[in-house]
Amino acid sequence: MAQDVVTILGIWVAALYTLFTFSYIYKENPLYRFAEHTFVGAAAGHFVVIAYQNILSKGWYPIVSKGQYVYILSMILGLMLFSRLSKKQAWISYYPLALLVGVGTALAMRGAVQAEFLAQIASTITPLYTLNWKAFDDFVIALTVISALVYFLFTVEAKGPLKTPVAYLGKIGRYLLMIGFGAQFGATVMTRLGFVISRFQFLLFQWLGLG
Amino acid sequence: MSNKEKTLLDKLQTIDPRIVYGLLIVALIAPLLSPLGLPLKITPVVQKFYQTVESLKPGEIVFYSFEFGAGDYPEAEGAGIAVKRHLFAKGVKIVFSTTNDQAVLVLLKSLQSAGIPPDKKYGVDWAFLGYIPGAETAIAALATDMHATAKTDHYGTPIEQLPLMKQVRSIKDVSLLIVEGGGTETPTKFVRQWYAPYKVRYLQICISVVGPTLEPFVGAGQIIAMVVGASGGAQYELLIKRPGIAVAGMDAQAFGHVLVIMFIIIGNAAYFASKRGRR
Amino acid sequence: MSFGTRRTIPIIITFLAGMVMFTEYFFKVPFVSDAATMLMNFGIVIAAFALGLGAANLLIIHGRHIRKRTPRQWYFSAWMFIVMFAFIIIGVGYTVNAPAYVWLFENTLTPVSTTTYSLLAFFIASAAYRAFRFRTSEGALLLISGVILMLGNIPIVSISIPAIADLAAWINRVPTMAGLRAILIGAAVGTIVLGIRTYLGQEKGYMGGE
Repeated sequence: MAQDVVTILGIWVAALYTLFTFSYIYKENPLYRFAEHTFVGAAAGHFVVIAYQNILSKGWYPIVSKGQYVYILSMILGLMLFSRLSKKQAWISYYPLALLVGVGTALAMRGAVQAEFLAQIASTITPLYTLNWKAFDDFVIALTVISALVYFLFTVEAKGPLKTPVAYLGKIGRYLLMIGFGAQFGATVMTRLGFVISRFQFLLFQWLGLG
Repeated sequence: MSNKEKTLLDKLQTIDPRIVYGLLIVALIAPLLSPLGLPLKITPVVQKFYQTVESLKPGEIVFYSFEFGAGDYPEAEGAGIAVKRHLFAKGVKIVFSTTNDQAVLVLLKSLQSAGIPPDKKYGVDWAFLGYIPGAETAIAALATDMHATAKTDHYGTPIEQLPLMKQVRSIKDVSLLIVEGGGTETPTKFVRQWYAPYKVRYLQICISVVGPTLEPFVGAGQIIAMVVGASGGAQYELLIKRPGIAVAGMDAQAFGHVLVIMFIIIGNAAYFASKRGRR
Repeated sequence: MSFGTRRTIPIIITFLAGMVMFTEYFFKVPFVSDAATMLMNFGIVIAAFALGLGAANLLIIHGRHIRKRTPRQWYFSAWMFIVMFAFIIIGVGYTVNAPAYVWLFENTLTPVSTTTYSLLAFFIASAAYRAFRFRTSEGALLLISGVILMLGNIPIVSISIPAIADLAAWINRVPTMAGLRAILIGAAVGTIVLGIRTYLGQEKGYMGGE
């Protein structure tokens, strides 16, 4: 019985917050701001709880349960981050940030070369001498990739005999990119409608009990 | 053209947006209350995702990274639930993890909605390593050594005490990687840190707006297949023969799409007619 | 510590950490692999602390509003604090798996978050009617491609007119994929260049510099 009351109360609270947030499409109002600030507080509180849980499991647990005392250094570095809140002492936070940036940048770079650069170029360069639909698709892919990259060339200006072909190739790239952006717009419509539909499903079926 | 007609066309172009909102609300609510059961077509890419999961053998290890936050999950909720149901039915062992702090509770809710079969024991058939901070650093570290990275599961149990994790040390023990959500950034990080060095088999579930941005990885063979958005989810629900929330929402999706297309056509028709009238 | 040292030592740390990670990637040296694993695990612990930093910043900003009684804001800030501390007390005291915490998460954070994401659907519909015009050739191409994709997403259309579904799938698979591939390649070059600049000490954004 108590469980049912708690569940029903939860549904009503969620429904009210949903309606308060939807009220923004009419105009910004205090109910929307109330919901917005609830979300900000909830998200911030959740961050702190998750941070606490992870500091214990990833930092504290190896020290006390496994005797891995080197993690004391990681805990000290983590605490040094909070000096960022003070303008005068913010320099103390540069050390843990330097470690994070050094490790993260290396991981991104070493992965990007293979995954985003070489592999993508390799799959663009394919045989085009066969007369079938796959070769046509591969030709369009190669043309789009090359012309779009030429369109993005802003660092060096094409001069002399190269100027006109580069300009035309860039224009072709621009048009082909527009097709891609149109497709993304179509996909965006589906995503946003999906979010609205899920909220309406909740309001109609769980809150109002229709259907 | 007369002045009165010109004014009408101008008014038609700049209609009060609240009328547009009202029409959209009606277009979405009506099919939810009275479903038409419009037919759905299974696309080859969803079929490929399904076949890849179907080819798994009982006992194989699947690493499932769930990256959706509370806000962006709904469009792919049907897809996620359907895939989890399929995995549990295949008898594979699943290790769940996340690098998104909000995803912790969203995943548990998704598992509750999917319904974990009673014969699947936590720690033996599936485990949840919890949230691991550090984004790409966490993803790279998990591939190298899951025990040293996670240390405990989501519930605080030391990872070495879980029977399943005795079989899973690193990516070398994983047969298939499935990433659910994460926008464009997290799947890119998984391609960089899991696919590029180790060539792990990789399937992706994502929302529709993210689908095109991950197509280059599918085109290069780095991601085998994707289930994208509500449409992909509805198709997957039909493939596993358990229609759910994704199928239920497809009629409303159809009506919503038709309405947006009509808005574009009517808006442009009024614009060009008023332009011609002014000449 | 002098100003020069405050920035120089972190740049050296960044460089050394990066070189350990690169050495581990290209060479099989046992103590380097162990060092790289330790650095990654340190990064994970530090990132956990960083989560709390955002909340601390919010405390400062909204605390200021409450102290100054900023009109039409300070009571919202006070409510934000109440919600935040409710989450913290229950989450830290009883863990995130506690029914009370799950109830709060699912009935406050989730509905507001999801509804906020869904607001854009209304603005897209309004823009589709009032703003999307076939004014230029590029704009027309964008709209036509978008409309074809949307038609392909309507199941009844894609079943009754398979050519539209095939065209929509082709647009996704070929020109869209290729255009985004070009952007991906460009972004990869950017990542590499930014990384090199970071290790050479040219990028000091994380230290609040230019």
